[in-house]
Amino acid sequence: MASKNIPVMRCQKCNSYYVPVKYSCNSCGSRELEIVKVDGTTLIYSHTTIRIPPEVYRDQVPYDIALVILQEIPGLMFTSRVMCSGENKIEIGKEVVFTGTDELGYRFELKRGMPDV
Amino acid sequence: MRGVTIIGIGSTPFGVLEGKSLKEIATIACLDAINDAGIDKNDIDAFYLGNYISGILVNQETIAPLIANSLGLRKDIACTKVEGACCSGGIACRHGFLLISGGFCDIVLVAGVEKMTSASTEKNTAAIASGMDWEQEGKTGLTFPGFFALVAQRYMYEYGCKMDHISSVCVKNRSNGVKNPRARFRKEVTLEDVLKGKQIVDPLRLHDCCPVSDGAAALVLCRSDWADKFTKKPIDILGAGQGLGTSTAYEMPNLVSIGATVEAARQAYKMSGIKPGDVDVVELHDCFSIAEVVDCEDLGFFEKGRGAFAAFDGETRIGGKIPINPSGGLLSKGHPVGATGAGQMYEICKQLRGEHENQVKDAEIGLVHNLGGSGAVSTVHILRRR
Ligand SMILES: [Zn+2]
Repeated sequence: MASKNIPVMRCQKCNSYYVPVKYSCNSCGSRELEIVKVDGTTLIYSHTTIRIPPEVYRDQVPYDIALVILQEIPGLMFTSRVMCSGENKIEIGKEVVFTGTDELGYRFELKRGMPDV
Repeated sequence: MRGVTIIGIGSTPFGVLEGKSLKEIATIACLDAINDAGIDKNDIDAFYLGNYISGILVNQETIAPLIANSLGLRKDIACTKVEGACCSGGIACRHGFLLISGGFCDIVLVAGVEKMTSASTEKNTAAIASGMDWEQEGKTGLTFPGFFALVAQRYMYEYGCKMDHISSVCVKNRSNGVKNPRARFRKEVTLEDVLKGKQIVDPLRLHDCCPVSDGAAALVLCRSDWADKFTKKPIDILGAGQGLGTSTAYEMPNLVSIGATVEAARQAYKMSGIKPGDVDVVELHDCFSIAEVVDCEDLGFFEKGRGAFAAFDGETRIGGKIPINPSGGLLSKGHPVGATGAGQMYEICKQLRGEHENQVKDAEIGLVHNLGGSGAVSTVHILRRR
């Protein structure tokens, strides 16, 4: 199962994609950007574990943050919280699944029960 | 374009400057630079001060006029603070350079200052994190150390090196810092110490990260044709560049290269006519061990993917192919954020004057690289002794 319904911003004039929020299109300058939902295969590009957090996230450590790429739209990458469970260790190249957004931004979890990509 | 020359330098030690205020340490560094130049303070035509977070950390803003009045500078001159996170000091130097080079001023005082150790760790963490893009990336809980950890993880994946190679930067810089009286840490560490250190932000450990510090540094810049009147050891600024990178990790086209550095270096090399191979000594922005690795490649000293192996093989030690951070760098000196860029300029001037405590033999051409934010802004200066 690939990731579904990831909200991103699309320029209505030139079709460039961005991570929300973007107030103007960096390619054509248009302010007509809309949120669209995209699907695709999402993979870990890089990752880290934060142990000394900003004060507001003190009760959440340690937590994993990863840069996640969406294979279908080159150049689009998400800085995200990633949930790992059990023995499944986070690694570059592993597939993740989009689980939603909240006040922390994008959330993904490591794909379970499947061979590593 | 007129030539610009450094005729005076001053710096406090970097570290815990107990009982000394931001105003006091900035005043001391500026006075040292003015006295070193042998000018009268009334000769100064403008003042640029680099600072990052004095408002949050010590509740003091409007600090360029504050320091100018502490020094008793003329009332008809522009006194301006500039901010670009960890690059604030480098930006202040470049603005001084531009004013003289453009013919608007003859003598400019530039400085950088930060007072950090009197504030709590929580306050420091929050203040430093204010340099992130909060609307986009800070909210995820990513930190500056986290940003460089992402870079390190990807770098190892792409180039097949290990933390052994990346962390050899810490061993080299800590060894260099032993001789530097301005460094916060003056004790050597072994590679084993670093690799067994406390895990801070995987894969970076304690010694991979520079410490916070208090500190101030200052330089007197002068039109080149006047420099001989004041000093026997003028240091000419041959090139100065400033580049814009991205404000978030996810927008970087390539996580193992920092675009702001590449652009600042391109400008400085072009202006000076100097090539990486001509440079004798470098002070670059090693806020983390991995930062030095990426920087030394982006500045053109090594091919992409070679930087960590080069440090491991001793090519960046004094006596190696290109000595990098003989001062001990940020990893030894500490990182008083707004002061760092001016402090790096100070260290290279000492090298080119032949007066450094950890001298690179016969150094004639030096390069200074300062980096701010998560790769958002960078300055590069190329200096030469006459
Ligand atoms: Zn557009």
